[in-house]
Amino acid sequence: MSEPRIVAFLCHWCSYTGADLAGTARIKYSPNVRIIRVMCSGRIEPQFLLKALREGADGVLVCGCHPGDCHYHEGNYKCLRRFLMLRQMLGQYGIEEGRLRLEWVSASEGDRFAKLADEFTEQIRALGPLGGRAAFVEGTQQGGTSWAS
Amino acid sequence: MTKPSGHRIGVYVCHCGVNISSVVDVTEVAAQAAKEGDVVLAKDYKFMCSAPGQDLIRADIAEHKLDRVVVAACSPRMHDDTFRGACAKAGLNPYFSHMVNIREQDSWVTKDKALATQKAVALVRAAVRRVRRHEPLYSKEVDVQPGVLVIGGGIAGIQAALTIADGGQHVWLVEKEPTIGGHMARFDKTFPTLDCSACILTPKMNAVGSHPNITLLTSSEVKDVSGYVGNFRAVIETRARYVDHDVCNGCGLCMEKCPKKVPSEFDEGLIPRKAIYVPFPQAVPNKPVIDRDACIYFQNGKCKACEKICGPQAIRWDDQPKTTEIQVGSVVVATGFEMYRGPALAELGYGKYPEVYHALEFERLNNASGPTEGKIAMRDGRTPQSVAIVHCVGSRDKKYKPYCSRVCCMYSLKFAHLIQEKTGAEVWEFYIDVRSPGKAYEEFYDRIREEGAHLIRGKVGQVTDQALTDDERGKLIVVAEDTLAQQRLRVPVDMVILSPGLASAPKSLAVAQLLKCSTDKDGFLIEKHPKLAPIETATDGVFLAGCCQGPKDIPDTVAQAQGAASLALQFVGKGKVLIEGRTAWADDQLCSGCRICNSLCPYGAITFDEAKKISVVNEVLCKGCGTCAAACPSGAAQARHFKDDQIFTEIEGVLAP
Amino acid sequence: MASAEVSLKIAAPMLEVAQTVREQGGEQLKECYQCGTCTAVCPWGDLRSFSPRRFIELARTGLEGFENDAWTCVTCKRCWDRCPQDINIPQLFQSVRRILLESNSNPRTLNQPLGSLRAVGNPWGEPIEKRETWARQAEVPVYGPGVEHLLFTCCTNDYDARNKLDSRAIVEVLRAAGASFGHLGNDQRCCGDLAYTAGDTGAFEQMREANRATFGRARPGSVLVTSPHCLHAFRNRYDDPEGRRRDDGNGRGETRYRHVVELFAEAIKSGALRPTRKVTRKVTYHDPCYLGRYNGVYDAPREVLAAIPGLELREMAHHREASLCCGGGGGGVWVETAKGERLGDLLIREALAAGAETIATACPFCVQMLESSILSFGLEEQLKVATVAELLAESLRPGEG
Repeated sequence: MSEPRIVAFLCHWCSYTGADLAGTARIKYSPNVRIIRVMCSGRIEPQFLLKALREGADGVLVCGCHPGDCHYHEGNYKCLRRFLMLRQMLGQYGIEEGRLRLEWVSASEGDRFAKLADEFTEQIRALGPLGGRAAFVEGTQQGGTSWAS
Repeated sequence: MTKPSGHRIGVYVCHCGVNISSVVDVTEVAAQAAKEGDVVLAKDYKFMCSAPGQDLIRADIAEHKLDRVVVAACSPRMHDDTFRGACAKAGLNPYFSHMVNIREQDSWVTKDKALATQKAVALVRAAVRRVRRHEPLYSKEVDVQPGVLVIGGGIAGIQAALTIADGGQHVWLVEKEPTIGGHMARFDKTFPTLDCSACILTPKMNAVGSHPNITLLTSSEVKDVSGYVGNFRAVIETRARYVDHDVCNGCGLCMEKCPKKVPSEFDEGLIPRKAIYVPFPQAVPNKPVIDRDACIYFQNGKCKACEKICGPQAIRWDDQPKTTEIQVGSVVVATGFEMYRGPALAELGYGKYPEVYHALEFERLNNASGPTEGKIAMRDGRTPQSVAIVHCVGSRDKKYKPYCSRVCCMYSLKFAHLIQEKTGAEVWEFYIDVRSPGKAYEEFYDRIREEGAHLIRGKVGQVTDQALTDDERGKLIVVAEDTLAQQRLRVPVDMVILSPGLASAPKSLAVAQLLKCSTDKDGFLIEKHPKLAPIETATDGVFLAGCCQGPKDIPDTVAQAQGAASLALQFVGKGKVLIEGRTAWADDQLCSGCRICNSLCPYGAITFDEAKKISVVNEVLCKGCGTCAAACPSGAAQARHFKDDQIFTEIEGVLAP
Repeated sequence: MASAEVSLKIAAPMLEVAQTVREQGGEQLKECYQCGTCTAVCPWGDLRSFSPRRFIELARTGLEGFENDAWTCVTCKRCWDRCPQDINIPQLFQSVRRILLESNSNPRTLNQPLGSLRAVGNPWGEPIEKRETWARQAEVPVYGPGVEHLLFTCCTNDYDARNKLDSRAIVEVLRAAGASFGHLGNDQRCCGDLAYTAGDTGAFEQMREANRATFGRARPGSVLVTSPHCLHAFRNRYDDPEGRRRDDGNGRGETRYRHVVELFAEAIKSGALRPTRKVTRKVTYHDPCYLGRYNGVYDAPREVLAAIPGLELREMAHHREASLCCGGGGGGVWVETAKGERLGDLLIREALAAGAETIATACPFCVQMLESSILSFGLEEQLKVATVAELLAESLRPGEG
């Protein structure tokens, strides 16, 4: 692979709507980010992120509603708790904290989402491919060691 | 490529005219999709959402015995229901379809065509793999409560309440001020017809006050909203009024006797009101309240002048805030706006020079029931000989409010007319662009020009009292560039009126959070779709009316209020609503009874069955967020349509080489 | 189609220049909606006909005429602060100047100072080795390890006889405050701020690299400057040459850049400085554009003046965010302007109207521009110019005032 591969989990009500708004406003951003929609960021379990890393993602982005704005009251707080725990755990396995990112993106923040997607892509590009380090999850070998950019 | 599972999947790639196909190679996407296992056919088509597009799916389901359908087109927020409907019509469970967003999240956001196509291929692949795992789901029908809650008693809330009440539903109208009427009650004339605002508004206010189907709760705010679609439970708090409105006859003697004066909010502080007061003479309800912070008795325990004069003995010193709990099927949000009052006013001398007024102050100054009884006068009582009106104060300004508020040009032109008519003063209007898109608005603009107002194209940079010539002495000098004449002007005037735009009401934000509606970056509530659902919100059964959704004039506000009322009537009148089958359930074979999910559920939809020692999901209360599924250690709690294996296959799909 | 092309060429003879302006950092041109706020707030307005709005329109359509106004702007920033589109208008002028300089279409008076910068590192054409003369005389130690503050003096403070008085006053106050400070001697070069805004990016970069190298060797934790232009250059231009707005109170990296008045205000607050001698004078304070509007320092100089016993502070009609301009910025100090048409003249008038006997300021250019305006009107007896440091030093000297 020559480009960073990124999976983004977005909640339906705020962040996915915000990503749609980036489109409606025709704001261009990195095509590396592949979005998977869930109803609430509270649905996102650590396994989703592990699965993505195992399948070859170099970074995972999680977006939910801003604190106080969750359509389901407080799913985003639950997401935050799980996210922090997972990130800490992965750190112990040598996976850089920068590969996982949680951000609040509201339905009106299309420009912010686009900027975030670009920023995160560059963040992952700087970290390089996750490569063999995903092996801890399931002994698979991934990718090369540098981007051909 | 994955192993075939025996499913028969149809893939449809939409061109969306050229919205998708000009960036994404749709034939290539279809060709790649065709290579996936179980894909029986993969087609591209100009407009999948059109009737022929939907017919195509229906015909293929019949002819090719498709059991799963993937449509790569716009956002599922736009057309998920459309394609589910197409499947349902062909006898397929609607949840056997899945949409792939290759417009908002691909063709519109990707520069490079090859990369956009590559992204579309990956997303379609993920959908094909996911849709195989889809299970049939069934919508449930629940009862809708009668009754509608209308939040906000300005012209939007008034109109919505009247329409709904006339339609036969009961309305609870909640207003935070002691009277309904909102901003419109403070105007004297309305553009472009120059109708007397009070003449057209007060009959509606009175109708609200006496309508058998309307419960009016003034001095009140909505504190909590719970429940679920069609069954909202709202908690409303009414502040202590210290006057029993059931006993009070509204004679007004108490207000005459009250010795304490404080600035009148209704009159922008230009004149005082009493500590016991009604905001204005035509208020509804036309009965006074006591302002606890101003009242002498509440400050030092003496006075009680109002109580002594009150014939019917309506004063209640021990009055307490009251909580009302109601059940309604629908909610109309009509929380209105606030005039912009930020630093852009001070930049132009507001607060520094007494003869610089803002628009609402001028509205009161010009109002027959205002501080000067409608006489346009300076603070010393003189009639101004020249007046400058400054458009776009804080509007169209990236530092303050970047948007155009739609009404300021027109109300500023109205001011020009009223000033010239009443005082004969020279009027100078400074504008960036005059925006007059409305019925008879351009004609009104013409009329003001013909009446002789000086219309200068240039934004005012400063208002100063620093005279450079004798003509300027004792005047306010307005400095702007006449951008058409290409000259910098210094115009000496007696009075300056600043025309700020409309900002969102701070209370809107709290209401939006209670109702789980989103607000935009300017604080206005976001409608479900900017063009095709401008009144609905992301929360079913909650509708928007008036300026809480964005700045608008009175005709548009009334139209939207009637629209919101119709939708609320329709929603409540049907008596039933379908709840999506996309809820959680707990597998009784897997549940260990750990109860972790019970406390996580934000709706209390999960209870513990003491007999079986397992958790049970109430599917009517469940809204399908999936938090329980994410937390369940044994995999018993599952979120339908967002099950682990469905998400996993989607992850595999987007990342497959 | 052909005819359309021809008519476009006639309509916009400088279209290529317009494109270059955009490429050279003037892309904000496109955002202007021609409201004219800039013209209305421009301090030139009451003296001569000058429309930044028209300049923008001509420059972006490639119409002839914008060259004539290109050197008028003094980059005072009143326009940018009030522009509803938040356009950095001084930067647009800079972009155009850069292009005009490349084709030698600049006012002749700029050649001498810009040439001097390249040759001797200061715009006044003075020899390098004379920079530290005053500092030696004042026995200012050389900056080195163990010294807390690096005192970076403006070229004007180093070479000009009038401004050396300010330099000595600054040293006097720093000593009274017990501050540990040192000077770079002959190693320092002009900050390059005026070269930059006058459009000479090359000279600016030469100065920047020389000073960066010096800073790199000296590694100061704290730099105190005597000119708001140095302050702005270090805080904003050395890292971001486009000068876009950034909330960056402490500058970049580990070095903290401050104007001396900021330190004075702190020392007064902490009790390290106790001005006791009366300075019985009616004083008004003129906010230098690059201290106030560009870097938000409005309170510190006023706090210092308020602490001086006997001193009566009177504000001019335009002060703080709305303050006028001495006319020195953007290379204005190097351009000849006739008596009665100078921006400083407006300031003199406001100061007199406020009943002031002294205009206090905190910028060497303001001192020069204001004194020359006062002189041209023969008002030396009625109105004096003093820096905040000079007034503070006076109040710190022993004895009754």
